[in-house]
Amino acid sequence: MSTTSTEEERTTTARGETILEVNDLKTYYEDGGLLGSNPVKAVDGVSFDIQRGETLGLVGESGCGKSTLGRTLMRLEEATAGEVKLNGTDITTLSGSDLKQFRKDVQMVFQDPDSSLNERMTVGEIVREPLDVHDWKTPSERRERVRELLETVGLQEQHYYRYPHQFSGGQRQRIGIARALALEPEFIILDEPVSALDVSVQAKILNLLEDLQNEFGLTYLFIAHDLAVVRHICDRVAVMYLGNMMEIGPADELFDEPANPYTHALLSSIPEPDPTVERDRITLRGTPPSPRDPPAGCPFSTRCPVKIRPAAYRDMDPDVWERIEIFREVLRERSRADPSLSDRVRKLLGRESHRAGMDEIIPELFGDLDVPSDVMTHVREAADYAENDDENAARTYLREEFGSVCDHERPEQLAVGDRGRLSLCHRHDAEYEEPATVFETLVR
Amino acid sequence: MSTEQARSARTKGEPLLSVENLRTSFYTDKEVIRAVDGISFDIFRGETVGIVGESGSGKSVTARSIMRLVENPGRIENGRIMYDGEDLLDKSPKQMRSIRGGSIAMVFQDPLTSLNPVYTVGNQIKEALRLHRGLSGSKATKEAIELLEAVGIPDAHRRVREYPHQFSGGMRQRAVIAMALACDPELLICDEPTTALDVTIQAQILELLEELQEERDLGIMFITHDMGVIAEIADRVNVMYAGEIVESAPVVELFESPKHPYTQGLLNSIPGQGLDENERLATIEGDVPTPNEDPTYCRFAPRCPKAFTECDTVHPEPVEVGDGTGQHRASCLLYPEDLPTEEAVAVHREGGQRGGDTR
Repeated sequence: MSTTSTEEERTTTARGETILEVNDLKTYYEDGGLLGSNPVKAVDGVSFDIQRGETLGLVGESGCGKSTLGRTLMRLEEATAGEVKLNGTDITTLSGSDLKQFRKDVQMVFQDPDSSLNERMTVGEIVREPLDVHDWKTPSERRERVRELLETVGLQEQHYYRYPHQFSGGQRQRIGIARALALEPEFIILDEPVSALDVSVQAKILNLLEDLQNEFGLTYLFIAHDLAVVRHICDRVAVMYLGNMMEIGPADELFDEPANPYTHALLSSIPEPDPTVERDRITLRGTPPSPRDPPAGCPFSTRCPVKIRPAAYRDMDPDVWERIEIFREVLRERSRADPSLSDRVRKLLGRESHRAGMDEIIPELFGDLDVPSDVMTHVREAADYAENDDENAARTYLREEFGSVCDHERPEQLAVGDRGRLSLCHRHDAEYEEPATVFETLVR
Repeated sequence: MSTEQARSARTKGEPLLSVENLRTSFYTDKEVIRAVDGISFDIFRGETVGIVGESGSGKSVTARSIMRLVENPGRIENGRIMYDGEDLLDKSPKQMRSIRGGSIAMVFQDPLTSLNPVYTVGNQIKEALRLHRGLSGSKATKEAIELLEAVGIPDAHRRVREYPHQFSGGMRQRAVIAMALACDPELLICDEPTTALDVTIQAQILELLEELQEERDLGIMFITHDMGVIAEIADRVNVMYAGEIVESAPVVELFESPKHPYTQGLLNSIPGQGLDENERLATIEGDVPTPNEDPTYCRFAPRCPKAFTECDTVHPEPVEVGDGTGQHRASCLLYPEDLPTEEAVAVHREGGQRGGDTR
């Protein structure tokens, strides 16, 4: 891939020095059950690093673990496993004065400026609080510093004695930014800093963040779900799905030629502010699986439009294949839901439980299609298991029959291109077709 | 419906809904806030009319006014809302109840607040069927299942007996849409229906709305602050600012040649419009004002890069700015473009002299 000289320059300066290194980080939320608990795997083994002075974007849908990752890097959540090295020191085990020192170096700006500012404190007190906590110089110097900070973020000195409710959303976000800057951190985590703002206000805050980065040499982790914003402000981007990092790489490259099927689908689902654009949208089916019970293989395997099919079914009609996938999803949804009390009573009384109803679903899904008889036999077999209230057996049966490497094996992060891009997908293996090639045939 | 079709539908036939000079004010101790101040627009059958604007511009109040859901201290003070040849503002509360959810249905931003957590989704759809179509028992259940299937919920037979908390966010919004469709409405009012959803789910819902519109020839009023969503779904766009519609145009024209300085600013502040990476985003200075007095001036003037003296004394009226078909109008003293500024200002000054309140 050819790159222009300015881009190369930027890449080399950004690659100067690693400020943060994350290795196989996991954050699980235990539900505190006494017996065999089933934790929520919010962050499930991610590794990446951030260079000094760069902005790394972290994108993904809600519930993908991006905020938990940010909070774990801040030590607001305890990591379950793995390490986070800031300037070479593992911060997951810090305590006492080391931890306090670390808190000075890393700061966070939160999404909602309403709930992250204490309504009972004046703006001056809010911005001064970190200075007070860390016993920074003398009180009068602190006040001077706060005034300076307010000016830096585009507020006025006289705002010192006002309360947060007297400010608009954009101004409040500026207060949050001033507070984050107070202790001169080197690394700032921005957790959806502009999501709650209108576009015209959003543009001002983004410009401010860029100015501050240039002025103070800050390093940003920019968490967001708005991909247009991320593309504008970030040097590199990481895409998360279900606690995993699906793809990470330089922003321009990742947006122009997404390698991972999930990135591809995510980008194609963003509405473009241009009505004349005719796009080949890939609309994903269903919703992400529960992070308590992630798929055994690739995290995206349940929704992936370019999933690898087992050799025997490679030439099957795509419609039939899709219905089988929907059928598997229905079963997955069912085994996830606990039977309600009335279901249990009904079952005890020997009355028909509505958890079955396979005789309705099968015709609904496959009725209007010309399904090969051997496929139908397998579907019926699975339906029989489900009819007997054993969804898990039905799922296993279907996984054995229609599953592929995507269902069985967790993919590795494989290198794509020559600018350090990584993507979590079996299709980058030389054995299979690349995702992009398959997408092309899909769109046609 | 494609924009071409929608355009031709516009030229013939009566509008489904026609809002004329609507004003809704909120009376607080301190001031009277004109949340919606003299707006007019039409919605035709099979057409999607988008309303965009920043928070506080009066988008949601417009929707609520049409549904007559404005609550104290809010009051609809002036204007007409013509639906099916009759003014909705003259209807009694009882008549209004049968129109709401009957021929006009509404989908709100947050699906959780429009679903009752203690009833199953099926029960809630059946309630609408019973109230508006007199269906009950197994007939209603069957219809509810069909509706859930129509909005793309798999396994509807079982889902119909589940509670809202057992549905995911996208599913809930689908269920709300199913409920809105229960009585075969002619007009669907969507107030930020995808704002609380993720992009991949948003794409599903937008696709669903387009399909339903094609099937049922629905008129859709779509409120959002997301210009991308508007570009995708709307046939025609009204841009609101501080309670007024400042520009109204077919979607392609609006994005290709926005005329009002506010629309231009709004479009320029979206990141990723072929902007170089190192370029700064354009911004609009200042904040949206609170519309609390008679509009005797342009409310955008204090933030407008092109403002001149008259902007503070003359209220801009909507004037034709497009290709002469009357489809593209903007309320700005800079237009009509072919007139010198003084004459253009005079046009607006005269326009403002027309009849006062009708109510």
